[in-house]
Amino acid sequence: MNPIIGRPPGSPAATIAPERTDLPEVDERAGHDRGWNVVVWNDPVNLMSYVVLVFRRIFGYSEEKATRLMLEVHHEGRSIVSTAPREKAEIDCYTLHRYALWATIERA
Amino acid sequence: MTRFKVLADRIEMRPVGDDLVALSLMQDALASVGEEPDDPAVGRLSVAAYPDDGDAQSEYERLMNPELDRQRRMDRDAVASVLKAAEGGSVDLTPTEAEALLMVINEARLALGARLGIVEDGWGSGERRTSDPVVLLLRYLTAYQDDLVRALAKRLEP
Repeated sequence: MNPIIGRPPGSPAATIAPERTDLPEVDERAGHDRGWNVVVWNDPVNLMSYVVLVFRRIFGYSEEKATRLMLEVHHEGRSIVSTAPREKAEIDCYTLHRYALWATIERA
Repeated sequence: MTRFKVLADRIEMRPVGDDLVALSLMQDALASVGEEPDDPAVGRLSVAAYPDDGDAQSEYERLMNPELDRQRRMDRDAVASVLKAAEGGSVDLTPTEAEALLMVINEARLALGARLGIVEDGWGSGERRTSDPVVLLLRYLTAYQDDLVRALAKRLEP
């Protein structure tokens, strides 16, 4: 992510694209599905401030929590921003796509 | 230079410098997405929710993509109306219009970034040619978006 244009950006870090991985084995019986994670991936073009704003707007997170998640995306390449039943996770992912963030869904 | 003034129920947008030119070029850039074969902007604006599950992804696209396309068209139409009004000077944005402007700018920035092949942080400084009009537009829109983000963040403050 680009911190702010016209000012020195943060330390260079390669963009980490979502990788294809095998889904883990999950017991699908009722009560054993731990839900679905919504993951946001690093993108070098998105502004840090924009990502924080989006997390606050969509999830109602505090500025502190939104900033922590944004920094995890920036430094680790990805962050789990919500965990929910599948339908809710898909709505969260859709909303993140509305803001053009790079979001995917995976089993929790 | 204050581009946005946060008011109780709206945001006043004050075009300065080359803002309207840049935002017009932004609209052109978005309108051209997909016109060229293998335009990398298409993929960046169509992220897979299930990159490792074709069936789940197909179902997700069936359910979500029509609404995503509809919402994006509405956002772009709202921005077009705002920019037309802004030709006369300052214009008041509703929260919905400000949000639409925010998202459309981000879509355009991502499209431009994809076309420039930006894959690493730090693109905003150093080696990118400052004479490249695409780079210049991307930088301008980034500064503009940062101002808008700051204004919208103020509305979230208690």
